[in-house]
Amino acid sequence: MNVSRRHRSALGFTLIEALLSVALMGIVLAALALLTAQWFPNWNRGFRRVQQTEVMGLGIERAVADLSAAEFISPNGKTRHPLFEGSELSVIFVRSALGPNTAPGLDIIRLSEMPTERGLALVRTRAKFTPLEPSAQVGSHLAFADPVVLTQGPYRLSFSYAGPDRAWQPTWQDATQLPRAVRLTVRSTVTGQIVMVSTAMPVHVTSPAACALGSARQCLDRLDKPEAESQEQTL
Amino acid sequence: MSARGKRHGFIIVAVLWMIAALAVLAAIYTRFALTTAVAASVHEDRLRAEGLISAAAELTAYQLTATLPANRPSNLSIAGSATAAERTISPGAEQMPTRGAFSFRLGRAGVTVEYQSEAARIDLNMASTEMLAGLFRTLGAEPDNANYYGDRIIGWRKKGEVAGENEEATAYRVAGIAYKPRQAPFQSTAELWLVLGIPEVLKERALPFLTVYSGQTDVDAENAAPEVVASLPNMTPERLGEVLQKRASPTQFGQAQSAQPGANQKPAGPPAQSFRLNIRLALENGRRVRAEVVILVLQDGDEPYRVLSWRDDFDGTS
Repeated sequence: MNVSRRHRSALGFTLIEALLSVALMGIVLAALALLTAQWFPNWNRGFRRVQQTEVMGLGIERAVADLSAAEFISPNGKTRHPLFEGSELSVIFVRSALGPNTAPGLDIIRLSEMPTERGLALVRTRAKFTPLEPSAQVGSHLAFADPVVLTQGPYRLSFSYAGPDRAWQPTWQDATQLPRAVRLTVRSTVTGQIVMVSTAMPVHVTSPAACALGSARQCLDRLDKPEAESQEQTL
Repeated sequence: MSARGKRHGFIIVAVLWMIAALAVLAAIYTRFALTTAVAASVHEDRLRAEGLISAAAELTAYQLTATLPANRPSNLSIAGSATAAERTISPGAEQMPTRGAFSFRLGRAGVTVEYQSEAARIDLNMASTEMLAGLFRTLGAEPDNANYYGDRIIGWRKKGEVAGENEEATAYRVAGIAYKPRQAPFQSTAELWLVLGIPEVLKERALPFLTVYSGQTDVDAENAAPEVVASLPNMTPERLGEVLQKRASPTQFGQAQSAQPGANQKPAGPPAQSFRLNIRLALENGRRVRAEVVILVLQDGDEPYRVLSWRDDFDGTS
């Protein structure tokens, strides 16, 4: 008996043994599934946050490259100020045209926050540069087209600008020259904290073409210290 | 005995399951981390390239100003500039060299710089109608048309009369163009695209020979492209061949220049102060970056140079 039983067990499982093993397997799998089910949402949320920041980073990278390429172009022959209008939420500047389906030449670029159906987004729009009438307002007069969403999400962006004195200012309007650097601060709308992708970039061009004529030093000094010049004139 | 054996088998199955699940998660994470790392390295490349391009511009400004006797420090050699080749100036001369090349290594990246005086190109703001017409003729325009095109460029930059408009503005209106000419000097060569009446093909061909940064009426015939030399007024094919042949033999050319510095048709005006830099970076990860920067070298004051134009690969406009 003993021998035959051992022999039988060596041949295979009884039905009860097989059922028991299936049940045990089920319990183990259920426990594992429960564990992963609790774990996955957190995992996903973490991933989504990282991905969001990354997409944000890419968009900001694009904005940074765009802004660094700003060129010293005045809106018309009568003005000597470069066309660069920066406020906290938007910036307008001129650069050489870039992108598919753009004719060669100069483009006026506007980076600004705009409402979309999925919340606020940083949108890049462009308009072809042509000499403007002295009276024309750049922001309202021009028809900006080809919108491209650079960043989107529960974040607020703000620009600030620094001149040669390296002091950050919230606006850059009607200045005699381009800012030396532009800073992009990204804040989370939820927590109000500054996000890590915030960045600052130098504007490459530091001199207008007009200063290549004659005495460059004097020309540049005039741009750097417009107040000093006007004071001298009054004296 | 048999029951214990079965239990062992179970635990192995469970452990295998857990290991498999962990492996899947680890694989997902690795992939993700890898893409993030790649994206981050792209950003890092851009920052490094920017720094290297600035370094190249600074070293060029240093090389240019260091050759002036007043500024020459006791030790002229720049650390790392292995091949200061092609200097077309004799040591005692007072002017800055008009071209040169050097290379250096910085931060495990190799940088090659070639610089050339911007006077080698035709200045859109200073050139005469004859020179501009000459360029268009060289590039394949009919002589009559070439003169017309030259006039259009002059018309774009010519100051408006008291009324605020020159007659060119009327021509733009008649042609149905919504804007007026700038009626002031060009601020970028890209403005050529807005000039009335010149065929696009010709504009595209002319742009590599034009600049707005030279500030010189005349062209530096020693360094200019053959097309530019051919566009000079009173240039005949024979004279062109002569000039180009003379340029082709560098030793002879260098001697001729050092022997008689003012012999060529250089004007007595101020020396060239803007230089075009062709910079090639080779990062250690195999990435290559090209950049074209125009700098304005300042001989007095604290700043050695200012940047007039900057194009690099990262922006896609180089």
